[in-house]
Amino acid sequence: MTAAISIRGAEKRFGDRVAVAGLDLEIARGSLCGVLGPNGAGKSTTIRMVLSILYPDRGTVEVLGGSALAAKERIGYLPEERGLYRTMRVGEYLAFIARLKGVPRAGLAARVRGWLERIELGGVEHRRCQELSKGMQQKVQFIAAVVHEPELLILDEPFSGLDPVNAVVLDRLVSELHREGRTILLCTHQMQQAERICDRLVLIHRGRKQLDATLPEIHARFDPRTLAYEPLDAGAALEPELARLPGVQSVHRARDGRGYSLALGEGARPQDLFDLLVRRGPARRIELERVSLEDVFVRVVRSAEGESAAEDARKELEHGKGD
Amino acid sequence: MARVTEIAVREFRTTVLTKAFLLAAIVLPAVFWVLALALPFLLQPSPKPLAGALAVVDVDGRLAAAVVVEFDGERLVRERERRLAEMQRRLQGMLPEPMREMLEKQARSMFEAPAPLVRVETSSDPAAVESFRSRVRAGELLACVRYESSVLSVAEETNRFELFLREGLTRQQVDDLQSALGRAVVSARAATVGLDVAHARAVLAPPVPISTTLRGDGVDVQENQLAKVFVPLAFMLLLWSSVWVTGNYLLTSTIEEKSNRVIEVLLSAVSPLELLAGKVIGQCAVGALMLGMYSGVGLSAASSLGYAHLVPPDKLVYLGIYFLMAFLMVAATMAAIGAAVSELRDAQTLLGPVTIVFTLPLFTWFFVTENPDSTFARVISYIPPMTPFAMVLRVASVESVPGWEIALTSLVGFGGVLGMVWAAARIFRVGILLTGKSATPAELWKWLRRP
Repeated sequence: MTAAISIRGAEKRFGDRVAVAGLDLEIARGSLCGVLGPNGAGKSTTIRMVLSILYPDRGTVEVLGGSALAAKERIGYLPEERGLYRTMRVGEYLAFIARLKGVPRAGLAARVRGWLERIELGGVEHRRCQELSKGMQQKVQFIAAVVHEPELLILDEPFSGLDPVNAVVLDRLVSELHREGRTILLCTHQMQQAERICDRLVLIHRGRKQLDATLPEIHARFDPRTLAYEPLDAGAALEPELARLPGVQSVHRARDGRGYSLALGEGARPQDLFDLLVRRGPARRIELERVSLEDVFVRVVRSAEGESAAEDARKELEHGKGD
Repeated sequence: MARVTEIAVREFRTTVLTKAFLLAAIVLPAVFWVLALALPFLLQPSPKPLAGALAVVDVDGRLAAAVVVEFDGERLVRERERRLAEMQRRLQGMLPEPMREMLEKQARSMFEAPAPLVRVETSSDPAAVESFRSRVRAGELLACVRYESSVLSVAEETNRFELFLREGLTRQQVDDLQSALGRAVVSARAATVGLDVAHARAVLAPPVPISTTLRGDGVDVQENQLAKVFVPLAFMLLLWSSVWVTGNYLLTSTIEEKSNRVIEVLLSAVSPLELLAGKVIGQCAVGALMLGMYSGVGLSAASSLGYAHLVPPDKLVYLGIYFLMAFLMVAATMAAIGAAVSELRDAQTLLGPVTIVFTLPLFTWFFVTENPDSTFARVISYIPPMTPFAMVLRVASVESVPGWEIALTSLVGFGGVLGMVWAAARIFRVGILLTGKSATPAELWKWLRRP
């Protein structure tokens, strides 16, 4: 089976600025792939090329086995900068978008009503878009992306600005659509969200792909081999004692000052150290640490572009969290 | 094509089914039309009859006698009938039957007002003027007139008389008084030299020309010169208002789609060119609707006033062709401006020169209509933004424009349309994704050159 998205050597410039630099990307059909990166990384430009809104200066973009342009009707898109026709009625707006996406007129009203009910917006069909709350408008925008039941769904920052209740509804719908077999491309700078729902992640920085792997692969590759240990008697200085434990390479006080990070030495098994710590005495927490995607991202950028680029990436991620 | 149609239908519906459109395009013209029909009746005068005493100071005595005759009730009625007949004679041949009937009806209602009931007091004593003036001031007299004997001579420097009026008289009453007193002087002079005034008047009245145009199709029509000037103007205003209004709708709807961020959703479904085509077709339909409505109203008015022959079907066909040409030019320009800016406020900067270019033809109306075959009229017919406006004036005027010239200007005009649409499409496809800032002229130039 062909890939849902196949980008080869894509490059896109806006004047002197390189938005996408030689990007290669294959997204398998049926996957829920997260495209991560700070603002300005090139995510939106990549999406726009997939949607044939923009065309690459170099390289090729294939979507659903053909040209990006030919696949327009089979793609659903929720842009980051999204809006509605404010004075249009919700039902009319959704029907209009569905018609543009090639949905036949017959049964369209029922389809729109069905989606409104599915997303818990029953009864707003005849209300004008401007009369809805921001959260409700975002849900309508989501329906506009899926009302034609696309094979490929591209969601650009779908959760930004959503309240927790609506975020859960949207989260559930994304998972349902994924289970139905649709390919979903989720662009976000919210790493934790991506980590929670995506089965594959692509990290982009300054127009270049820095990482492309499944979550288990990332966890295996960036396994910190560190145990977090927080004894009940956290007040005492235990570094010397813990450093003497078999398999422990180094011990550091945790950042919050409440425990220790024990780095495992070459060949040491986490389970053995885990048993030793349990036998040592009562503990509040003993946990095999999992690397965060932020750390992975910074490490990837560091190895590819050096320390200063990694520091910039960390700052960009911090900045992005505030958006 | 189905997607283009969907966009066009939405564009048409959201423009036409708004209160603003209904008000601007239907209700206001309808109100003006009703007012135009009702205005002659609303403005119909209800004259107050001239009643009271008039003092005449005349040392000679012949003028006072003429004034007494002038204000004789029966004579006044005869004079009115004479003036009405004179007006009817002048209108004959000038206007079509329905228009003439309407004006005659109005005139008749004016002449049917009650006749003045004026009692004349005369004095040959020049000193009596002061006492008459006091009585006028007190409201006892309508007016006091002082004639010098010299007014009976025909010397220009003495051809005047003094009139002292009571306050509160209407303009019509003053006019009636002044013309009656003037006629009295003329009658007295005529009597002095033994002249029959009525006969002299008849001799001096110039004949009314009744011109008939013999058309090639065998139909003979009586033309009205004034109407011939205004028909091209009506064509021009119809064309200009319909394309300019819809062009502005296109501009605002494009800016709205950009500012409310719905544009990216649309572009995920259609290409920028499909979007542009849909919007232009939708607004073209809006313009055609407006043109059709206004033309229909204008034609029914012309028909009811007997001017239908001035708007033959072939001229309406030309109106349709030049509407399409003008609309595409304005629409291309407006779409490009809408795509290049982020807010309506920013659009004003670019709109300034565009407005000047497209309103320029309005100022050429008189020169082109007066002389449709002049070098000026011909030159502007070959300058694309002005072509449809200049040509609609020329084809709507009486002189026929040669067929080869219509064909050649159409070729030039639609060539201009192609160029403008090409440039607009290039600006549109890039500018439509530009948010948060407006394009500079240098950027627009760069977009035009981008492959």
